Amino acid sequence: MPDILYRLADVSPLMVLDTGFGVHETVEHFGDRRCKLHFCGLLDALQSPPTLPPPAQKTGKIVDESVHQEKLLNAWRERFRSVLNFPNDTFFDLFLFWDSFNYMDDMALKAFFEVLHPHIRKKTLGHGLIQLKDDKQVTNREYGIQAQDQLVMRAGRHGSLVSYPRPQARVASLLKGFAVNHGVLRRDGLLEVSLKTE
Amino acid sequence: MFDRNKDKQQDKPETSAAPAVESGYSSSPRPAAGTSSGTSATLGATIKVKGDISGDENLLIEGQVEGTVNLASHELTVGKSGKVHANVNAKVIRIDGEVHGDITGKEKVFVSSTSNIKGNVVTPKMTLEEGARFKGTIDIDPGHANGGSPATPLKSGNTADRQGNTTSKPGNTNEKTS
Repeated sequence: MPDILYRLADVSPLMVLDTGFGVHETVEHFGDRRCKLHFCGLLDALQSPPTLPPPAQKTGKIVDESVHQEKLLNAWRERFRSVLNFPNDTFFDLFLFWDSFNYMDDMALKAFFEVLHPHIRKKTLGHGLIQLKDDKQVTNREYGIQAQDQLVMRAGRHGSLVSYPRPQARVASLLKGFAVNHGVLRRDGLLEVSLKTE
Repeated sequence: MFDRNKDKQQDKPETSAAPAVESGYSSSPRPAAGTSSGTSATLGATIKVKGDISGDENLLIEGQVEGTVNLASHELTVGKSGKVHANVNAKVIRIDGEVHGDITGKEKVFVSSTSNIKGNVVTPKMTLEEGARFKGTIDIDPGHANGGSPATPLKSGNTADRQGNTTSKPGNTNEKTS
């Protein structure tokens, strides 16, 4: 995070998308500079995943699973478009994903980044926390920026969400437009990654 | 960056329901910071107004307003029982209650943990009370205090939806980041 913020120090106005909720510390941290902070509360949109009606039973028709999957992917895209409904000319310099990757399955994560992709610039940076293994202790948290090198972490309000631990490579393959610039395994087992555009 | 040993956790003292806020604010409903602008008016809890409100004094809204509120040179407080479904524009704005509309504070905006906001905020200085959670856009321009016309916030399809943090916090953790 310090490196990310350092690299964005001269950007004005700084366009930030935080996938969580705005918390005191983050607003305070950016409060001294020209910026637009958008807090989209993404996890609210994950509380009830889109579903499709089950295929008709015993109709004798062949069920094409790929069609079903494509419909579900489209449903996710629509869901995220409603959350990230920015004008076409909106571009962000910084994405604070926090641990939101971990509450989306592969399909949802793919859809999310497809919807996000039109809003990234050449030098957009991102920050995320990837859950590598199943561990309830690292879920249901809310994050903020206390200082350039310090995050603040609180218990969250989305304990009912399912988490999807995955290896870094698999997550990275779903982040359309981004590549992992650097990562470090934290003490709590989360992999903290900085992202850059590809 | 990404120092493996930096992520030492430190317990942060729990914050109370009435956290430290900027000087000039208290948790009790009253006109926003400072009363240097002179007299204040109160729109009581049983009062409902449909239309535009403007004036040259501070205003505390505890009732319901639909329309617009424009106190360009004065201070607006939306009290805990206040329900304002309007775009609001004032020099200083404190929100303890409900505002559905865009909020332009020419000097500052203070959002408390009891508030409920759907709209975007444009101001040179924004303070979100500890315990508050905010969903929406905040457009901050510290160089334009006392600025003129309201800036255009980043528009989003989903309007802001702020929810006060009324549950107890099990404790915050400050964490060095890599």
